[in-house]
Amino acid sequence: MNPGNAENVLEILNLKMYFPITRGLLRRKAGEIKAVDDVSFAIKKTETLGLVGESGCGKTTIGRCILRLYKPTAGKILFSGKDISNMKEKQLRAARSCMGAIFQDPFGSLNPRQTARTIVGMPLIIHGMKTRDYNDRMENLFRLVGLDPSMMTRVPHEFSGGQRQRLGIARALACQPELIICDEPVSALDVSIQAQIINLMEELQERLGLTYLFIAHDLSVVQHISDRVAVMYLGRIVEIANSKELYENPLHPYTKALLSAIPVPNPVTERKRLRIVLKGEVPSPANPPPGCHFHPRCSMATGDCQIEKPQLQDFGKGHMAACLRV
Amino acid sequence: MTPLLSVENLKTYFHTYRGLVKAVDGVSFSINEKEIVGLVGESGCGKSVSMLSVLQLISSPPGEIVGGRVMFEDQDLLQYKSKSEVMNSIRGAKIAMIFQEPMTSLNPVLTIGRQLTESMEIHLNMTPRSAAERGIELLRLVGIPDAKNRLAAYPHQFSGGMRQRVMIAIALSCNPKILIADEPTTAVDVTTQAQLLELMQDMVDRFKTALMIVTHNLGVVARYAERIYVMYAGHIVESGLADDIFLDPRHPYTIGLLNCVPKLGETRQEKKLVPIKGLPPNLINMPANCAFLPRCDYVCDTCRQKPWPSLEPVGGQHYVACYREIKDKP
Repeated sequence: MNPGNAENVLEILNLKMYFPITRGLLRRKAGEIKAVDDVSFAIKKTETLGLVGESGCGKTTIGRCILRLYKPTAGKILFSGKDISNMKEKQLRAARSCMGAIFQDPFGSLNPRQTARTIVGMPLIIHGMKTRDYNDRMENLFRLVGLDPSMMTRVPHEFSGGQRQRLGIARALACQPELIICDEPVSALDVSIQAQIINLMEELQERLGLTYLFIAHDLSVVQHISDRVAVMYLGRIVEIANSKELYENPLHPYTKALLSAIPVPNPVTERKRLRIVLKGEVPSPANPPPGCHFHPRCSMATGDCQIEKPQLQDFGKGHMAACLRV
Repeated sequence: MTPLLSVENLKTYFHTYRGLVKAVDGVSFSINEKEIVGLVGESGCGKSVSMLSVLQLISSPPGEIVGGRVMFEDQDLLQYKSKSEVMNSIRGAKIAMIFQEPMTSLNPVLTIGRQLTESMEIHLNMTPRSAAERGIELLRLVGIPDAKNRLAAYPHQFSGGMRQRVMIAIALSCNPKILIADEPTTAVDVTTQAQLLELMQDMVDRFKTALMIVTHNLGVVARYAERIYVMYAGHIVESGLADDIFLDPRHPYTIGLLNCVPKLGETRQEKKLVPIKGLPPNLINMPANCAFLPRCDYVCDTCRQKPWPSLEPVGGQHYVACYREIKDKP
């Protein structure tokens, strides 16, 4: 990670997003949830960075901060070199036209009363890009994601789950963005459809030179599509590495547990595999354990893990892990 | 050895305004004592409906069990009405079920204790006090800390994984012969999934229960199931020992399913995913021939002309419903 590197489409520096917990009639602040707690990473052009973690670890919050759907508590978000973390609405609109977003739920993220054409074309209308070639452009977008342009007049319920996700992708591509935030784009789909969408996203990336931030909880999917993978636990990145490297040589005990928990569809390797079953549950982010957040569930934890907060350390070739015991 | 439960040629149809939906169309499967069996298929393939039909939990209308036999303890359960005493004494007691959504399948306005002890009081004629004692014991077994005080808690005070543990405790409370787990881990995280699966395996060992895992995730059944059934569009298309299904799949759908999931540690530069083309079929007014035909890479004239093939043995306990003997597997 080189700050200020021109190759980086996106740079996140010490991002913090705290949500207040309010109590009582006067909505006094009673505490805060540190959804994202001091996270830094960068994404290079045409790269895919995968972000994995279990529910509640803050991965979606990071995505929303980048889209500036949330205003971060602290930290910088450099998009194409410009800090968007403090931008006003007007400036933001211009920046947002260079970003796309694909959401998890292909049922909830499309307006049921709008036609497919309106859904896909809306970003162009909003950003004032509705030009004379609008109709051609719409047809191209539909073809690009593998939908027949004759389906344009249909409404979302007439599409299957996979087709709806294709609509979502077309909408994300409408403004020819550089960066696409993909928030669990395939987790609501059946496995046979999942592969179609993953392949489509990979093809589009190669053809259009897109940069993806791929947020998902399924490590095998993330590893397949990403160049680099960041693993999150309770608001912090605990390990970040090249996708292959992360699988072959995981350093953080949480990554190891996560990898071993993924069921492999092969009974022979499954029987031989050592499975690390974590104790207990993910602690509440409102009251995270001191020191390393993972220490109550970690088999390697010692006394100093409860006191000292581990920092991300480089272990060579950009493989970084935040653990005192590595 | 006669199987504990054997379902023969089960047919469950739904009469809808848009036509007849043959959700389950001639499905046969069996489960032996203390065995773990997996039923795999994508959403809408009829796997849940088959399980609900066994317990006669299909709402009618629109649903109707139109044929088949469900043999359990030397009698055909389908000869009894859904609300008959016989079915009531079996449901929840001898055959118990864990449902997919622990959020919606627990009653939000009743305490965990009430929901846990209810079936023991009804089926085992236990007094509230002894049922509560056993309830505490069960909660402790499924790994809920401070079980004694948790009996008075409500479902919303538990996390998703904990709720599913409670569901497991409820299902095991009457010492069932068969436990049916319908997508038990779909709504939870992977590390919780690993915990729950290990727990279920421990529990069926301890209670000497047979377990049927219904899931869309091939990985989940690979580790635990001895035998596996693969379902597609209301039919079982392949069945066999876990090793047969995973290491020597014969049906084009099973082959496709195994190829389209990303393998751990394999990046896209190494191997692109091979998706199954097309979409799962709409089950309304389906044609008589193989429903996988439009998506199949191995279609031949026989498939187009003849009706849906029946399950034929291909060696050992391995059965496949396909006209083609596929040799050139990708």
